[in-house]
Amino acid sequence: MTILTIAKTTLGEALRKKILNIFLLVAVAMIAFSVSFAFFSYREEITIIKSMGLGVIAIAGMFIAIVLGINLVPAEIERKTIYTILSKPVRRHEFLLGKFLGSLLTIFVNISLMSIIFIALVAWKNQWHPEFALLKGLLMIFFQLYLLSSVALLFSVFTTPVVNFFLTSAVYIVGSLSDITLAMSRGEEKNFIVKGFYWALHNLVPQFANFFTQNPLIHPEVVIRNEGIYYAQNIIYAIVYAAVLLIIAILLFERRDM
Amino acid sequence: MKSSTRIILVIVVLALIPAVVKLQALIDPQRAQFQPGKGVGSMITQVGKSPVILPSQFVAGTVIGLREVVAGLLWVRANDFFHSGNYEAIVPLTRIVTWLDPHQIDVYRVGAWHLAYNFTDTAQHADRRYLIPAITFEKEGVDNNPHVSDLEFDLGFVLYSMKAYQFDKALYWTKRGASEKDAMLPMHRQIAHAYEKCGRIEDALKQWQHCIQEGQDLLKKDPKDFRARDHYQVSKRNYDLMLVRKSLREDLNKHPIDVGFEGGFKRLGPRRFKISGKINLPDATRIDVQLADDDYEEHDLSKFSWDVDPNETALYDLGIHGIYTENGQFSRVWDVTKDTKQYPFKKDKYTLILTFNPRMAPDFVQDNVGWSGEGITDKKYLDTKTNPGVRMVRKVIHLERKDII
Repeated sequence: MTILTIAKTTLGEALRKKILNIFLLVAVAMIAFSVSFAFFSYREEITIIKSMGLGVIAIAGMFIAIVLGINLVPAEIERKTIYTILSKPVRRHEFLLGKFLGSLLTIFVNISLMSIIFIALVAWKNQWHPEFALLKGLLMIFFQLYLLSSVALLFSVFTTPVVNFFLTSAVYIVGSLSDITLAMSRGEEKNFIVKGFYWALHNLVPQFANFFTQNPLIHPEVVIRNEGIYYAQNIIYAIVYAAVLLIIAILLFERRDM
Repeated sequence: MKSSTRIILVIVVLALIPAVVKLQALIDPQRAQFQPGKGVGSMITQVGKSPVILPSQFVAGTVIGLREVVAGLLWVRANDFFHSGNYEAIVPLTRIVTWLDPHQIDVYRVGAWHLAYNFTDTAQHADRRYLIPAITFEKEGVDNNPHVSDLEFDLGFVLYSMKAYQFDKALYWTKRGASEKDAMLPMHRQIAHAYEKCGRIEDALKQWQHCIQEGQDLLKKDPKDFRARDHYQVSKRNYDLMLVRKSLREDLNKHPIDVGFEGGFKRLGPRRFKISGKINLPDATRIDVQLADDDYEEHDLSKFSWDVDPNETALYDLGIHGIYTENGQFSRVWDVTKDTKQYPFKKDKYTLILTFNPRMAPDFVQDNVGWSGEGITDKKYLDTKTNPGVRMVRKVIHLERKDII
């Protein structure tokens, strides 16, 4: 109950934040702008609209998740509201989980708004036949941001927002270079220290590239074998990895001097 | 928090880490199956002789999962270049777009088309040296997107028409395209045309019959299906026409016409020359011209590259681009003084080949000579060896650099 109350408050505060609303507006405008590429063949046009839509939602969601996540704890400390909250019968882990849940709800609301515009736009281009398969891509984007939020939350426990911004962004970029880290960890000519380093990067840094499923959604001829299993594995991966990061965040937050 | 709870949480974290590693090991091979760009190769590709690294301005977008967006926006940029006539800028863009996203079907098609047709001399003759790169690019598209009828059919059409005139290969790709699930009905009709160009008239007739039946079956299911009606009517008309032509051309071999072919080359000045001659066939008969380095050969490329040898010269004017006859005479003046890049003429020896190929002739000419030249003969230049099964007339003239420059 306490967690839900904090989550609702966090959601309310986040929805009033101008910067997040600007991200949302720009993203919606960019999705709508993609229909202006009407000079191509139908296939090219729909490819561009879908890729732009999914890409813009992913990138806007990433900025929203990072900007939101880096301020979750520091903002409360700066405003000293955290002392009021923790002086009440609210345990530290409840506060942290409430904040995390609130940020997830905010991301969900933002993604949903962008997705409605995007799905409607694609449906309009398809003579009002909605492509519900695109929801799979949007689900993957949500779980990617779920994982990213947990990274930002973990860093927000012990760093300033500016440092956190760069740390979380760096983790996101390294986690998106999955193809490269995987290839380097398997390179035959590399020595075992180099291979071990890349193996650790690939396996211990959250692999955000796992959630890039735009290609099969944009091109009907590209098929993911065992699609259901693939999506399920990614969702479990996000939940398990986020759980690890949240537990570490809780452990650190419990020991932090206020 | 109690210390016992803390210990339990630490144990949970330590227990979950191997689970995460295991999950990642399960996800990796599945992702590799559909994700464009593999390993370091997602940043580097081979273009011609040297590797090319993805331009830095695109790296940021691609590493954060925006490969398809970057590819799409680059293609939008390519469209701007097209409208401004900057064709040379389009080809590198098509390479980058298809490298970022190898499932951009139309980029392969349009890229190949640009290569095959849009690099031209001042008289709008396409640069023959780009034909093989165009075909290789489209084949790469087929390799990356097997079972997409549009690409296979398009490749067949490039080989069939306009420039290549490689009918056997065209037939192969057209049949492949038409056999895909997403094939459109006109692709089935194109098979009949390709059979005809290969001289396989009975097969062409069978294919027209197949198309007629196909159209009828579809019309039974839906009498308002305009595509089926079109398919049926076109196929029926072509089938009937072909039967009439077959009957008309049946006895042409009994009294072959001596076409009395002659052809010549005359230097008018540096890089200016005239090709002329005569042939005893109806007006608008086409004469094909090939003026190329003596050792010029068209090899298949194992990997796409748009690099062409700047020292090679290959002036080809085939089929509908060839020289048309009037009153039994043909003549064309070439002035390539401004086209030193396309026609460098740097070698010492050249070969000029003038050909009348019945397979490439329009129908009204074929009515006189037959599908494969059954109705012609020539005392000097009849050639039955270059293209087995075809009786063409072909004159080869050997030239030296001083004859042209």
